[in-house]
Amino acid sequence: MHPYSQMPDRSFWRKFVSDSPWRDLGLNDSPKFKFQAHDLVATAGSCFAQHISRYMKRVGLAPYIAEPAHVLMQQAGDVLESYSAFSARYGNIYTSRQCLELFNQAFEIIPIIEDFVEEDGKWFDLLRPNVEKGGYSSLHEAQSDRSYHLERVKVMFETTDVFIFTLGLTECWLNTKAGYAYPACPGTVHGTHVPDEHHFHNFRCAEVISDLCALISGLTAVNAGIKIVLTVSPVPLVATHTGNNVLVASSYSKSVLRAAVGEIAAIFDNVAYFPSYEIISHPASFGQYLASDLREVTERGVAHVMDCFLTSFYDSHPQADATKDTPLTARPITTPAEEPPPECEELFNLKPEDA
Amino acid sequence: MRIFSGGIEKVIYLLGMSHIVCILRACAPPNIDALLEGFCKNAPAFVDVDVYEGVLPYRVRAASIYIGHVAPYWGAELARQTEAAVIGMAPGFADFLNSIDRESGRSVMFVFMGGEEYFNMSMTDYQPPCDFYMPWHSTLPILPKRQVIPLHAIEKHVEFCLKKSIDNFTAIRALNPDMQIFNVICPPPLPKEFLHKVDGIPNSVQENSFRLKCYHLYVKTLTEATSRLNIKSLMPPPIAIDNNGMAKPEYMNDNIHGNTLFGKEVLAQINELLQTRCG
Repeated sequence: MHPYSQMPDRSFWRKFVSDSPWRDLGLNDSPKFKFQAHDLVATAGSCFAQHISRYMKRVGLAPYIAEPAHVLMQQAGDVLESYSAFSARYGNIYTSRQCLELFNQAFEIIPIIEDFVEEDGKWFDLLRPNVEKGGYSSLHEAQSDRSYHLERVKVMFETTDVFIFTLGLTECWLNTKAGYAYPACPGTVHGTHVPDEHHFHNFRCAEVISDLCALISGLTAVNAGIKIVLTVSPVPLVATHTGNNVLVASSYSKSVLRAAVGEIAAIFDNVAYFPSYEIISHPASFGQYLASDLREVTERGVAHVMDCFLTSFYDSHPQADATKDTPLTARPITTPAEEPPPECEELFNLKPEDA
Repeated sequence: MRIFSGGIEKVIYLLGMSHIVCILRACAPPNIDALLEGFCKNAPAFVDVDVYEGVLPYRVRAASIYIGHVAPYWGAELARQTEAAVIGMAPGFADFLNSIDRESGRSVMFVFMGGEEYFNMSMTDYQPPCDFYMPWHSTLPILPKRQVIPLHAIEKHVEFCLKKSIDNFTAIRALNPDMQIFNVICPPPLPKEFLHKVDGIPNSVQENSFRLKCYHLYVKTLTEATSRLNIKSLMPPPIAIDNNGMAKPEYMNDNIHGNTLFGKEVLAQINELLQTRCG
């Protein structure tokens, strides 16, 4: 007898991986905690994170929307996807720093970061460059909407039972003078890149861990019962600014994020890691879930991730059937079951001729 | 009292809902109460109004199309525009409009319609509380802790609320293509501190700036719609409006309707218009 003798099959590569179809692997077999069907589940993160709320709705679970579209907007027939992609209207949050700064603004730990630009008479929020696609009609309107948004973010953090954060990138653009992080390089989605004002930064593992520690400590302080799930987006970088080739840069980015969330999950009892990255990107998957560009994740891959997510975190689990279009009724659904595919500001990093 | 001009009898038609009352009180003799009572008791029709000497230069005929007065006879919907060139009407309403003297140049109509739309918005406790920005009234701020609604969404809401009134205007114009018609705009909102209370509760839930913006949007939507029908709009008399653009309490009968003083000022505007028209 030795310490491995009593370990279950899933502890052994040959028994768990080599001899099983990839789809059948229970890759999140022992989560730290479970969700109740009535739990409020808030989501944030990179574009891949948008799948979570999309699939929750598909199986009849209502993701927590703390900043829903107003009934007057719904009556006007507006396109309201930015109100349902995540639990509040923050758009994609790619880095731990961006999420921490969002939290700190919402709880007035730091002042509201105001970085708005005017383009052709419309105003855009560089911290949420894609949420108001047509732009705001004035700076005042943009500022007011951000203030309201931060109030709702505060409510969301204070009241949610579960917070799922999908980390996407380590590469980031920072404001040189004030130090804050942008979700997208100014000049790509909106605004103008000014070398003296915006500089590139590639977060190191210690920085990500530090930011996540601060975020989770803050979250737990304002919401003692919160359960947090960290995931890493399996979607590689669209482009890198490191000087390395994009594949090596992606590997660095995902490795850092994976290591950081592992560290955080080990530190905090209320933080669990969910292996969406491994389900899609591990070499043992033979790339079966990658689209033809070898970057995007196919709907089948997303369904595998979400099926694994739902079955492991919910006791009575609905299936994340990619073909299902009639949602089960677990809680009232206030948004359409089918929504547009996720949007990704990072795509704006492509060279104009490649876009 | 009938006045003839150049041997041809001219007629002023006053058509409206509740906002017509202050005008009638300002121009008509003490038997106005009987006139208003007649609106309630009888089938909708234009009736002659004996106006005070010198108040208006022509024969005056008035009718109420307040929904409570007309619905028992014509139904709740007087007209409905279904396509750009199609306007349907309740038969009774069409007969009513056909009763207007259409002899070229003889008639002029002042219509007092709408107004409750913006007031209803000020009475609605939107959840979550919301606000909006009007570029042409940029001094009216979006209030804190309000969800920001894009202007176009509010505009659609107001357009929806005003559709009945606009359809009515369309019907009036359709049956009276050559008549000079004026859309008389109702007074702006009273400042919240002057609002009349109902059962001790202020009769509004929204702040002044929001209510004023709703009013401006109501005015813009209605005046643009009527302008397309070649119907000019008569704005409330400036003397009845304070420096902030809200109604002065001394010109108001209640939270939304002008009083006789207000009516007299509107009559002065109408007289000026008629003189210009005749000049």
